[in-house]
Amino acid sequence: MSIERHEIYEQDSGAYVLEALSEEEHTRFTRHLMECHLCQDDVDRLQRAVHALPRSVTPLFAPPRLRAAVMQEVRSDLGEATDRPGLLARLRGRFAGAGSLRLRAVSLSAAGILFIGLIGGFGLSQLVDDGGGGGGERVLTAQFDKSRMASGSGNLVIAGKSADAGGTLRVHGMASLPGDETYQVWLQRNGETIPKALFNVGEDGNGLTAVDGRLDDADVVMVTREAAGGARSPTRKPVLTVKL
Amino acid sequence: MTPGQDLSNLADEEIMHLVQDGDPRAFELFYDRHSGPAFSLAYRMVGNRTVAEDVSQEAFVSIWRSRLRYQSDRGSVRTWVLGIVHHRAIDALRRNTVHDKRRASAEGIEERFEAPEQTDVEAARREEARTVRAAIDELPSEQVRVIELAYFGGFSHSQIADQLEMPIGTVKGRMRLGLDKLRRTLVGEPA
Repeated sequence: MSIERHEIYEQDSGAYVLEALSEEEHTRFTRHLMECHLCQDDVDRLQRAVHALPRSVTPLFAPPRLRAAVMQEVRSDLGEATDRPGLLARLRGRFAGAGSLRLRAVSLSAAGILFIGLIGGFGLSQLVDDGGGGGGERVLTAQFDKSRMASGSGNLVIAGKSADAGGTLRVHGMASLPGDETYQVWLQRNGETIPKALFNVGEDGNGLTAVDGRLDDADVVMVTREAAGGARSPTRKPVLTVKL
Repeated sequence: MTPGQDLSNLADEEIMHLVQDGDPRAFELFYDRHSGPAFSLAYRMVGNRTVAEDVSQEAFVSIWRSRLRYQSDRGSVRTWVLGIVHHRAIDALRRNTVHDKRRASAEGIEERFEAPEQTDVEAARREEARTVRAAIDELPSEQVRVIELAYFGGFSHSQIADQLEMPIGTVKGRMRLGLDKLRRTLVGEPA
């Protein structure tokens, strides 16, 4: 490779590592790199500075729901049951014991309900909770910290007999929060506090949220008030708790 | 690995080996270690929380699905993760879905869900961020500008040249000089 040819490309190395070259220039430079050790060295050096750039960013929390969404896709790829079973699985739990023909019919109608629900803009937890009538539900009363949420009331409905069916938390009379705050659900199991869903209540103080994951071996479901985006561990005392 | 084994003391590289074996529990830990920096970078680039979540989710799912492509001799796990997040965020920016929304970043939304220093790891990340920012602050402002527009803004050199009304050659030169000076500052090499 001639020095003259290197000089043509020399100035491109910074833009190359920043991915700021046009597609055509990028291809040309990549081809040149294969034969030019001077540019390879330059790129290696500058790349170190580029790798430092993302480390200059103010550290933020990733929202807890992001973890749930990512892990759901991972488990789905593996063909495992997810923490949050689908609507059909929940309904199957409710109708456990019914004959296979009936189960198939329920599955088909549930698929129809899901489709209509999605078209109508309803959330999954609303569909499941409002369905009513299924066997094996447990309804547990939420205990509120009356010093901070005097008019609060609510309950946790654990859906079906399935161990990992999750539940639905319905609350009333809770304070509606400003945009920079959220309520966050937590699950306590064997001394570990696991972040769960974020939710808010309407102006009327009513709210509804799904509580995903296994509840059969959990000790407590609780809700705290947190900064928008949620927290990895509770930063305030719970406003409500449900002993399981 | 045994089912009850505590993975939390394993190094990133060791966790990555388990992830490459398709272990979802290892991937959860992998996610817990890298999701903060990944989300922070995505948010810094797109300036919108919802889009940053989408970008981070796409990146982690892509990391899971392409986990066998990771090669330790080509850089640290964290560099690899942040590189993928960066690409995804640039894709989002170039799809032009967020250029308007990202102006919201100037409103100080970051402060609302900035990670408090609760653990040594978070404290170390903050310290690292301060060190890198201090090194960036030592660069001439015109070099910082072209580097940040390219890296965090996803703009090409010709777009930057248009915006700043300067020749493309000047933009390229400032990128190269600025990155070289940044590297020297970070490794303590004299200019």
